[in-house]
Amino acid sequence: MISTSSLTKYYGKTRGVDGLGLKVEQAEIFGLLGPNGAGKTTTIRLLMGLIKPTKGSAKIDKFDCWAQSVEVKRICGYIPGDVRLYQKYTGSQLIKLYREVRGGAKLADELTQRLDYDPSKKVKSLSKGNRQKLAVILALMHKPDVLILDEPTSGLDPLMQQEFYKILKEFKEDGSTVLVSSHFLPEIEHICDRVAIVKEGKLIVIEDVGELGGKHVKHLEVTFEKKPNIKNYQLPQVTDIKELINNTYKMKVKGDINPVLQALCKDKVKDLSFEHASLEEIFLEYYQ
Amino acid sequence: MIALTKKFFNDHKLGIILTTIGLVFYQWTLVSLYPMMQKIDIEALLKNYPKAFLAFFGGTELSFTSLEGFFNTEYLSLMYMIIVAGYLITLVTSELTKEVENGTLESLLSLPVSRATVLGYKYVNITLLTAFFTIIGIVPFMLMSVAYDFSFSIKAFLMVTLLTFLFFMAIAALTTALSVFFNERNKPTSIVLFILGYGYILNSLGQAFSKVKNYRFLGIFYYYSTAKTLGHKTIATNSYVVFGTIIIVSTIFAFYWFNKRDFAN
Repeated sequence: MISTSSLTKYYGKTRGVDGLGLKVEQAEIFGLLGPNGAGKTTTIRLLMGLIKPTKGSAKIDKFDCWAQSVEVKRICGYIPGDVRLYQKYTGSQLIKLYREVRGGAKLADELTQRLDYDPSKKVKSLSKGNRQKLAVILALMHKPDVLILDEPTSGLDPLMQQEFYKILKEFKEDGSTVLVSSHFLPEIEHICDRVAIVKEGKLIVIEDVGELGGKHVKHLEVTFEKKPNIKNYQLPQVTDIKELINNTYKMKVKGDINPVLQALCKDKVKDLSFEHASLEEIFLEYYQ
Repeated sequence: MIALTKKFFNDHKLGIILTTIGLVFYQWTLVSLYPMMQKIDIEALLKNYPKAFLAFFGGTELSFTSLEGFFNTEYLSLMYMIIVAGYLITLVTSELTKEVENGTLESLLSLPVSRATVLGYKYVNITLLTAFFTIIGIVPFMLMSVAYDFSFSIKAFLMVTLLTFLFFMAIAALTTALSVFFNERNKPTSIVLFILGYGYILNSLGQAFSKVKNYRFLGIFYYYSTAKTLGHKTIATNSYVVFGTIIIVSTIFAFYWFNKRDFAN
């Protein structure tokens, strides 16, 4: 449904993306994961025909994203990374404008209700979260076949994020294809089928999300009631065991966490927390 | 696609209404003042001024006591031009460069409309508004003059209306081309204001001092000679050529560049 071939964009001498090749299947939620400046937004803008590729091409359905951008935009819903809307307009006025220009807004009322959004307020008086809700409504209300979303949950509270994930899954069940960018790994793991990891404009790897979860590192911090037998934790998937203070230990867990949980059952645990690996650590995994 | 036109006029309605009221009120004031000005022996008063001084402020092409001369000196050659040109520059840059600056153009271009359509609608609306301000800036004066039974040449006024429209369209088209090219609003504004300011001073100096006279053609105001048009009831060919060229070249460039440029903040 979405494909790019040697997609390259340079802004003068500054690299945006370099030789990106992706293929996203229909009814798939595909993640684009990378740190700031990795080229996620550039890729998305290339897909939406907002910028012209320096080299290579991108297609959505059978349409070239630059040469046939009108056809592409007809089947797409787009949420930009930095939502900028007409300040003097109310949500209702913008919904009306988009409906008149694009046609179709059958989901507008339903989405407004589900996202608990008040469309009578002017954009300039909206909080970041409410502006994001409006952007979601504008992008999804015509029930597009393809969704191109640049960090779409930015500014949404956790409850609304969950509702948004539910909406995305419903779109997928109805056959829509979703490409979503994020620099937040748990979000990608939560909603995506596959993920492309990009760094410095280049594609590092494309993985099934299930496999990605098994590969990446988590940081475990655990406080025991009394000094534990550390030998129990010397497992293949555990490295860097360090005692921080009074029976509080930190360790890196890579892959399956179940053997570690089983080991923890043998000791009395006072407190326990898992922290996801940073993107840099994930990239290191793939560079090694 | 009527939605884009509705949006354009809705966004600018306050500016349009205020400018229209201002222009009509200004003309009404002039029509009211004209009989009084006729009673004063302005010509005798003007004879006391140095010729260069008079030439610098609009020339001596028309008699100040004629309706055409009065209208030209008091309104057409400077105040009207400043009001409408200033409004058009603000309008065009707010429709294009400001939308790029604010990022709202990215939202608009994410809808299934071609870039040519987006610019086309904006350009047509700008042209309509330019025509409106040309008409509303001159025709009420003509109608009020008819009502007050002042004698004047309708042909002279129609010709100057056409010249003014071409002049304003040249400014609008040039501002459009520059607004499409730059990302910041102050750049096209500064360039157009510089072209107008430098053209006005060059033309005024050229009228006052013979040494500069031969260089007047380098400024845009040489071709916006309202006094000559009102006096001769015809537009000079070079005005058609220069304004026509600016309009055509700027328009072609604006559409070409808008279609190929990146829109990313």
